[in-house]
Amino acid sequence: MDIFANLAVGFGAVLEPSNLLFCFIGCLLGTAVGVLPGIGPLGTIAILLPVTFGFPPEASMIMLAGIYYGAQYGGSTTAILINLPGEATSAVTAIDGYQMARQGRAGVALAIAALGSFFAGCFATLVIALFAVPLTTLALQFGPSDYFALMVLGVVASIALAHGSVLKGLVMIVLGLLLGCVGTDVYTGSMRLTLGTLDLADGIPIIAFGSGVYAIAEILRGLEDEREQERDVLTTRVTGLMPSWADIRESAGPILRGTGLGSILGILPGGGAMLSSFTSYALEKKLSRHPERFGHGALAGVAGPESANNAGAQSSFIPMLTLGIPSNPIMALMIGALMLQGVAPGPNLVNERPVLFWGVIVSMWIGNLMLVILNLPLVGLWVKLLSVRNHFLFPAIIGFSAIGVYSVGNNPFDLVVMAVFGVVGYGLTKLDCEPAPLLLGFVLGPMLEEYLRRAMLLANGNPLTFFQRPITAGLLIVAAVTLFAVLFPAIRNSRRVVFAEED
Amino acid sequence: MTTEMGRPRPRSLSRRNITFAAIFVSFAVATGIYAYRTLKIGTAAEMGSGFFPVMLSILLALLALAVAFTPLSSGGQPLRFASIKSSILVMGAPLVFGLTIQSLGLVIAVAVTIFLSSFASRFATLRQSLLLSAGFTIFCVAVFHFLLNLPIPLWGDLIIG
Repeated sequence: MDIFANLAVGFGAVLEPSNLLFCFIGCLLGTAVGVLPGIGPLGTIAILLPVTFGFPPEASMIMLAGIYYGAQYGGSTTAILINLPGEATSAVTAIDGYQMARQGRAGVALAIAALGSFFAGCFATLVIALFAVPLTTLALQFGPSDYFALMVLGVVASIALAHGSVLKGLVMIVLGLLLGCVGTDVYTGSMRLTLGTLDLADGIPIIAFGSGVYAIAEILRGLEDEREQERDVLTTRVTGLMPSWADIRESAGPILRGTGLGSILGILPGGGAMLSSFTSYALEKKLSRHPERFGHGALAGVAGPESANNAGAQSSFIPMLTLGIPSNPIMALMIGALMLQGVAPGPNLVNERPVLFWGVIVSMWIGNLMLVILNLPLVGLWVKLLSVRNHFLFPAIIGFSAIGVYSVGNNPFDLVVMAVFGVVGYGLTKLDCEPAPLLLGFVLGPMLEEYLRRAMLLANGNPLTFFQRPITAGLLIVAAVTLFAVLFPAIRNSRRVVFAEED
Repeated sequence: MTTEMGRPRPRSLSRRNITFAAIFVSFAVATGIYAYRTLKIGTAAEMGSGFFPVMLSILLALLALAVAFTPLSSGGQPLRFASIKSSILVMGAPLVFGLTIQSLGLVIAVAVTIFLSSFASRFATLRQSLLLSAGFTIFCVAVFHFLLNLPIPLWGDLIIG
């Protein structure tokens, strides 16, 4: 098997001191934003993306990836110690983790969360390494219509698996696709929907769009209800980090199941860390012999979801790396990062940029190792970070994102775009809309259109082409069934159960 | 406008969803007409630049219209807005940066942006805001200018001339 040769290429890339440093910085930043409520990995990646512009592509991807899975570690610390999800994906961890902390078992909860995440991270890395190459081989046989169908399925599934109104999710996707049309049409070279300004000739700048919708809108939401923060940090000194044998035995099953679940759910379009942790919690509660202990400090309620969210975070890289299709908004930004670097995402990535491809995969393993060290012995340091007040933090976030947005093209117009999408993003949250499908649609739009046009050109304008190729037809049928299923009440109810824990 | 009118009864039409539909349908119609008038539609085999946008506009309008006839989802939170002062300061912050970055340069643009936006919080005091903006400006100059070598001039055209 040349998987070892491939991994060796990856290790070669990661062990280069500069890449090792970027991996470390990514994990450190990821942990920090994971710990801090109010800023998540998505916002951070959007802000730092332009900064990585000057780095080599490997370094940039390694660092950005580190932020994503690092945040999964950091989020659990806040969830356990102050009953507040530092990161959305840790929302379920707070339920039982905080109860454990109140019972004086914070150390055990933190340790199991970190060790579970570590195990999940290692396993998911292996999954990526094993499945990446076969998947790319498969992907290379795809025609334009297959790609089109795959993206349609991805879009539909991402709404089906997300929470909130299905219909509004669809509206957000279509709006995103429409916004993605702005700019120069690649086929004809004509300007589209640019409102007559040359500043939009290259399309709506993705960084400005992302920073507006996420950073600005999120900050405003935080300012709605500003109270003197009384963050009740339960234990300033966390003791008893070493879990006992009994703890390890109790959490082994949930960790294994969470890891498996996360690895699968992460690959699905629309999946990723969040879905994995919610599903894992629901599963553990169902399987447990003592379901009544959930909500009162069940170790399984920490071990399962924490493993699942880390596995899910990492396996969501699979469709991004192999197909060039983002399965969630963070991956959409990663694709944006690749394109800014001049690297074409898609199935050719593994052959054209093996160092980048395998480097990112191996960096996840190294990164997980760093994260365990960063998170367990240094947990006291992160707890201190929680005492930083929000009103010192948000001006800094605004400043950082403004510099980031400007630095991409040195064009002040991009800041206008950022402000406009800040208003739009804030307005959308008031209309009960999720910004995630909007960003997904925005990134997928140009690709979706390109494949549609190519497919129609090949088929001489005959729309039946989408039913003649078996792969295309199969994918479209799955998409149609999925859409039908989520609009159908019975399944919608079970979907509600999975997400019920969130409120 | 701080709260939604009463508790949304199941099956009744939601005011928020009707607002949603109104906004999105008008946006879709406007975009559709704009795309149709300025771009070529082409044929199915050789789609013009306008084919996809016009198609999407129609789809968007239809979907948004459907939203008007759905009841508000049970998870809907009561409407709450940030204060007008906070909104203006936060939303305006990128504009302040955009207006000052070329004429005054990185140092002043960052300092002013941070200083002004910090007053979006109720807890801001003049002294703290000054300190915060000074400290963060030094940090940004160190990171972006010296460490990352971003080609953004420290001082703008107006200052250096």
